[in-house]
Amino acid sequence: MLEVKNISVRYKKKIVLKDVSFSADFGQCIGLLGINGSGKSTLLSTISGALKPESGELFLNKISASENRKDYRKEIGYVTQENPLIPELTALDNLRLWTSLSGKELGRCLSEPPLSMLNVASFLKTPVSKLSGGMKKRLSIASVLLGNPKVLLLDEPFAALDLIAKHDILDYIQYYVRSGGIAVIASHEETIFDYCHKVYLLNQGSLTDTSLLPENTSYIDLLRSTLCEEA
Amino acid sequence: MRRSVNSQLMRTLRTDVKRCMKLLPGLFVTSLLFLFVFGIIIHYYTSILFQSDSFQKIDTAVYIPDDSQYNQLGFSMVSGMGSFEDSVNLIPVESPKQGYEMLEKKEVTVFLIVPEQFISGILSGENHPVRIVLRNEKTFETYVMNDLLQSVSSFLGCAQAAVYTAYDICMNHQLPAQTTLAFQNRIDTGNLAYVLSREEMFTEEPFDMLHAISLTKQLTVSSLLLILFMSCFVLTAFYKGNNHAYYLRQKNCGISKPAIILTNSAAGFVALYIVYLLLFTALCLVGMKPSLLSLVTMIPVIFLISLIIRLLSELSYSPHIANLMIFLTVLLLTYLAGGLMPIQFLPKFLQNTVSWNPMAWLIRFSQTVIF
Repeated sequence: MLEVKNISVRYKKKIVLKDVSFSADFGQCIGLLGINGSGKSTLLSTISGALKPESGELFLNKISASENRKDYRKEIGYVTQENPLIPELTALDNLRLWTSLSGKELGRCLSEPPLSMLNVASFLKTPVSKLSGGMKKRLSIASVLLGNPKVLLLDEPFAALDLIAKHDILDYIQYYVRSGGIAVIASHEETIFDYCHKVYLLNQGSLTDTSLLPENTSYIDLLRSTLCEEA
Repeated sequence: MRRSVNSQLMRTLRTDVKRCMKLLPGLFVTSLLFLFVFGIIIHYYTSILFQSDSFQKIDTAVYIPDDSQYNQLGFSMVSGMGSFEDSVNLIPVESPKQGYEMLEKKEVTVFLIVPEQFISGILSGENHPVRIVLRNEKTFETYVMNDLLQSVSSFLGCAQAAVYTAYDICMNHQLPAQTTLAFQNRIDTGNLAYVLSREEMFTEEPFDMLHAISLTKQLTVSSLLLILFMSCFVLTAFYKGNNHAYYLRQKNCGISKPAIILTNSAAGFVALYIVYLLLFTALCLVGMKPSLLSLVTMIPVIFLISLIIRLLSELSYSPHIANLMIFLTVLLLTYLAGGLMPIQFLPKFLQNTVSWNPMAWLIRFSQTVIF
């Protein structure tokens, strides 16, 4: 179980996250909704263990992020909005940076289910600089999944992707969640939230469970209301 | 967990080396280009500094009165001295007036007027001084002439003192005429000949024996370091090639930014070392005879260069700004370290900064290990 308890993050004098709390069981998909600059990426960075919160606690299966940061981090896979890829190297070289598997083992691993769903094996020898945006995102996700994380954090995974890429990645996320993983997705794509067990609205650093809001309130209305509040 | 961090670090290093190897063609082209440019500069620069006619003998007019054959003899002796032969062109004049006219027309730099009974005056102890007339200007030549005449005067004075001392001893002890003659011969043929002979006063030793380094070699070492620094123009693209997501991902794998900087520097070092091998071969081909041991001893220098460039890249916003910073910083420090021209040619206040200049120490160390 992933537990986020009263997390507060301050950047210089600005409070980015304010007493954020939520929890997710294994086999759950969590959606994060919010306007640009609402703190979604900061929350994901904090959950990944890359950013230390000013206050609050993070637990994964009772492992505290503050007390046992290394073990905690090992179980988290974080797919950032920007791809952490090295353009001059091939897709295979990029994958080998993040895993101890040999080239052959990698090739086999990627051509078998479930990773074969990402269709990465077909462009392993291609330099990243020649890959499309969708291919890069698939590669980025595959490089994270090679570490078999229990929690998958995805920051805008569908930005600038074509329909096929979106479909493939979504299929994989569903499979990942069904297999007992926890997925936390920050996105501006409305459709993705239909697949989430819980959707949270992040507004001015505070988190609100959208299920507690009045029924028939669309996500776009929620976002508009947060914009009005900010104004 | 420690093991997995170490293996991630090794994978990062391996990947970084792979990235650098892809830059090798660019590095080779850049370093060869700089090698060509610096080679031409050094060739012409040193040939200008050491051109054969850059030092001319100092034209000196000499007036010697005809009254004494001893004076003519003295003139022959002095003009035959090695130190005079190499540096001074003695031009006899018939009258003091002619000498002054030559001086005025700038045909000569110095005019020496030997007094009457000069040599006989030395022998009798009356010491009629030679008048030295210089044009009213302080040039390099006048300084040389002043020092030269002062040295000769000191030598002759010492010889004169020795002669008189010997005679005094002979007279006071009432030694027989034969013994006195033997003394005289020894002083004249031995000691005076020694004083007047330059070859026996100075011994020339090869530079290598003194661990000294020629200007050409000094410029070569400076250029070599500059080539290594400037080759990093290609490496900055690699040093600045990681985005925020990459650092974040590495952080989640337990690799801190300082560790990434170190692996980057180590990979850059491998590439620069290969460039050094190329430069080493080039030095061998042009007959500079660099020390084979420098292939090992230059390792810390090359690593330091890689680390400095990596840190400079970290401080700058983009590879272009990093390159500009490298170019300006390295060129300025090399100039102030006397790497582009001898320190003595720099203004005095800049010469004082040399001991504080890290590039000067780097050049000095490299000179020692390469040659």
